[in-house]
Amino acid sequence: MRIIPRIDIKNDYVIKGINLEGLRKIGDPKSIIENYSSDYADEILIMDSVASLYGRNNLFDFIEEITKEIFIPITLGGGINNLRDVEKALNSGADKVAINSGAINDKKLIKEASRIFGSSTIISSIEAKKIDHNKWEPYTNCGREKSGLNLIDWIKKVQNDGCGEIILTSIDNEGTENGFDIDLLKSTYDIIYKPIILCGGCGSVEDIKYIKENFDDCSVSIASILHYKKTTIKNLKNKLVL
Amino acid sequence: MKKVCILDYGMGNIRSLKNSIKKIGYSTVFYSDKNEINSNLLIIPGVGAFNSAMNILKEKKIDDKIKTFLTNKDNNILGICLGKQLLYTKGSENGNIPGLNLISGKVDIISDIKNYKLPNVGWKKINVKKNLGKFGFLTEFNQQKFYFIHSFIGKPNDEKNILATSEYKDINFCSVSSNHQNLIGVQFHPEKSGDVGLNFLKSTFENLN
Repeated sequence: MRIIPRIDIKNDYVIKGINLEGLRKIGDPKSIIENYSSDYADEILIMDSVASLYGRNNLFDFIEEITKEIFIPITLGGGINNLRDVEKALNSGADKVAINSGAINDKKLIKEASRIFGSSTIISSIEAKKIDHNKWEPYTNCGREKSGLNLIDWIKKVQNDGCGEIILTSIDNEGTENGFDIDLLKSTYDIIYKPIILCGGCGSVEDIKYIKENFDDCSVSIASILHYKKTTIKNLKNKLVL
Repeated sequence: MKKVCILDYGMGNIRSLKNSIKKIGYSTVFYSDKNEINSNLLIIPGVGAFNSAMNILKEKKIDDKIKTFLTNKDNNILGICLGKQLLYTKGSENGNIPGLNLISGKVDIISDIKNYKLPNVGWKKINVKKNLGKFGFLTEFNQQKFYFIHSFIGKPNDEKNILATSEYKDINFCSVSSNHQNLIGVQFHPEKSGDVGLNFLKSTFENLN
C-alpha cells in the first residue's frame, strides 16, 4: 500500500476544502511538498484547483521547479484536457498525469494518451458523488458538474482504454475526515483490475488500516490529517507496518 | 565534472533522470540518432511498450550503435525500467519482438492471474545476491526499497545474470540483471527512489567508471 499526500494548489497556496469546496489556505506548496517527501511519502499527487476556472493547468512551471529537488514520483492533475497538456506535464517533470474532466469531455483522450505516452503514465481520476442507494455518478470540474455517466461503465471504459491506475475520490467524504467511502470502494473493487488510489475522507490511521486489511492493491491519498499536522506519514507507516 | 550520456529516443520522461544525475554532481549529455555517444557511460531509460521502443531503436539504427559501444570494455551501460527490458533477447509485449539480445532471456508479463492488479506499482525491497564481483557494490543496497512501476519483467536464462530479485505478491522476479561485464539493468526507477535512489546512481557511476 502506498501513502500519497494530495496537494491542492490555488494561486500559489496549498489549500484544503470540504467536499472539494470551501477552501482554506494551508501554506507554501514547495515547502509542504519537500516536507512530505522527506517524511517518506511514496508519491505526491498535485492538483491544480483552479484549472477548470482557467480551462488549463497552471502548474507546469511549478513542477519544473520542484522536480529539480524532489526525487519521488509526482502525479499532476487538473485541467489536463488534451494530448498537448499531457506532453507538457510530462516534459515539465511529472511522472504521471491524472485526468478527469478532460477524459469525460474527450472520450478518446485516455486511449490516445496511454498509447502515446505509456499506460503507466496515465491515471484516470474519478470523482464520484452518491446519487442513490449504492449508486454513484462521476462528476467533473472539481466535483461541481454532473457527467451523466454511469460509474461502473466509466470505470470499465477507462480501464479498457489503457489507463495505468485509477484514483477514486468520494466527493461526499472528501475533507470530512469521517473515513473513506467504503461502500463506494466495495461496489467498484471487483471490476477494477488496475491499482486503485482511494481518496477522500481519511481521518485517522484506523481508516487506512481498514483499507489495508480488506482490499489488496489499494493505496490511499490523504490530505487533511497531514495538512493539519494530526500525524506524519512516518508515524502512519510505523503503525500500519508499511 | 564527470559526464553521463542519456539515450534520448522519445520513450518517457528523461528530465527527472537528468535532474537526479545533476543532483549527484555529474553532468549529462543526450544521445540520439543525430549525434554520438559522448561518454563511456550510457543510460538507456524508457517508459512505454517494448515493441514501440525496439521499433524506434531499429529505425534510427541506435541498436547497432549500442552494440558497438558495448564492445569497448571501458564502456558501460545502465538500463532503467523499459531500458532494462530491451537488453533481453525478446519481449512478448504486443507480439514476439526481438530485443537487443545483450542478455539472454525473455520479457513477459509479471503474472496473468486476473486478480493481480497491474502494473506493479510502489516501493519494493531488492534482495541482492552474494559474490557479485565487479557489481559487489550492490550489497550496500540489499533490503533497500526502490520505486517500481511495471507490468512486464525480463527473466535471464542464466541464473548467473540475476544480481537481485524483488517480490510482487508471491512472485519472485529479477529486479537487477547484468552480463557480468559492462552492462547492468534495473527494473526500478533509481531517479524516483528518493535518497536511496540517488545513492544508487552515485555508487553505480563510481563503480562502473
